[in-house]
Amino acid sequence: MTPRSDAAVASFIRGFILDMLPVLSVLILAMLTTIPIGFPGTIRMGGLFPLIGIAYWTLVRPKNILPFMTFFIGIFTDIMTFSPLGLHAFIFVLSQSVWKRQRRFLIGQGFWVMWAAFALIVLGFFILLNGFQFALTQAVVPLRDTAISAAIAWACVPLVLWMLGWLHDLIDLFDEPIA
Amino acid sequence: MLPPRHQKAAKRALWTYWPRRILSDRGTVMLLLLASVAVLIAGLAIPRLTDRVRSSTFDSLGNALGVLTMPTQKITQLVEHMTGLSDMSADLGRLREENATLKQWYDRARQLEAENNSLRSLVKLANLPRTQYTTARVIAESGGAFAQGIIVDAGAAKGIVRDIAAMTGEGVIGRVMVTSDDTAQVVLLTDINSRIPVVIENSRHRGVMAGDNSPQPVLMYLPDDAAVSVGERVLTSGMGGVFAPGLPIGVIVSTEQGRVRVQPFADLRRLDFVQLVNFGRNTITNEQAVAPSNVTPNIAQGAKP
Repeated sequence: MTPRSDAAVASFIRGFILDMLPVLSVLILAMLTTIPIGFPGTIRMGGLFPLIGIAYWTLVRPKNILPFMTFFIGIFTDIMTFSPLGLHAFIFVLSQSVWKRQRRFLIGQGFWVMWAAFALIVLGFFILLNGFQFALTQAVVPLRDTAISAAIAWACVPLVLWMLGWLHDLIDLFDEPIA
Repeated sequence: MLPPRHQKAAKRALWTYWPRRILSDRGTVMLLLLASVAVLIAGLAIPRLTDRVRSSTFDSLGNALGVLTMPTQKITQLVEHMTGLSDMSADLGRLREENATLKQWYDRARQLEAENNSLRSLVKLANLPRTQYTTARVIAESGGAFAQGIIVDAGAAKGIVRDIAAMTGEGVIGRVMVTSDDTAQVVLLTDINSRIPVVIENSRHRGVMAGDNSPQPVLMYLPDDAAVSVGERVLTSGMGGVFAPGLPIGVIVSTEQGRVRVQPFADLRRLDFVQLVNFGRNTITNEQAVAPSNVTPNIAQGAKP
């Protein structure tokens, strides 16, 4: 191989790894949901944190988190959270599609507007999840526990966004601009 | 910066060009939503398939999950240790008292065991099967609202089979639902699919304890005339042959609106280690052979009080 083709291959590999980092970060968020934290009662986060990751990357790097990737992240989250396969995949793909339409409005907004927007994501997620749960198991999650779960999740949003923002900066640092 | 020729090549590369054009369309979103529904229906229709996918995934991720879980468990232990320091002197006095009482019970248990053995031999009662205990670490728990379960780092390779009991020092916490080579999935008592034949300690009324995804499972199929009162202990009845009879499960905490609720003895929110207990009497599921002969029990034989 010539030095030029070596450079092309190296660039391609580096680009591939950098392209995959957003998806990997969301998969790690999905794995983190399985850590035994010991929330009381029926307080459960489900696949909310991966969804926050998907929403974030959809805003800042939409080409790195395509719908088919979101689908597989959803299936992985279903496996991790012991949910019926396909459930989180449906919620994630649907949420991403809706979220993507608001991208032009959301991009460049201040922190408080973003945090408020993520409150809608959290709310929508729990409504969908509890709706599916009732439809599939006829079990109603107590409203108080759902509200606490949503509040904890929403409070954690800045932390998750801060970590993902740090990763985004890192990707930007190593990403080679292509004309 | 790459030379222009390579920039073009990179642009045309498989990863960066056509999938983005094809897989980001609105039609794709619709297709993926339909695919999700199809997977959902298939998973509900063939639960065994879901179990297999889940167990093989957890098998592959076992080490990674162990690494992720460890810091949380260490922090939890540290916090418990720090908060426990202030109560240490009070605990010491209480433990001394308990120790004195337990010594008396130990002597009494030894006498009863000897008497039991001699009476068993007298009436030629069949010996109880050999019990095997395996201690396993919890590496994951269900973070979702659909199931109450945990994944432990012991599987078929250590002789774990489906339907055996999972316990802590306090009592039963559930049963093994799915096993793979290195991990096993335990369905907790509180899971909506959990059904355990039980008996109320004093009245000896039999029933079934059913989970409903709430922290306190419900007692079902009790006799109509059963007088149940708050504070009574609930034990396994041994019906069905999965669990040995007399294992402690929990205590009745409410009987409101005809629904008898049980608070499990074990704290299901904080499970670091569990014991998987094979009583050698799996009669519900005969698909898998009982533990291989080379499995050695990790813990001393004998059921816990």
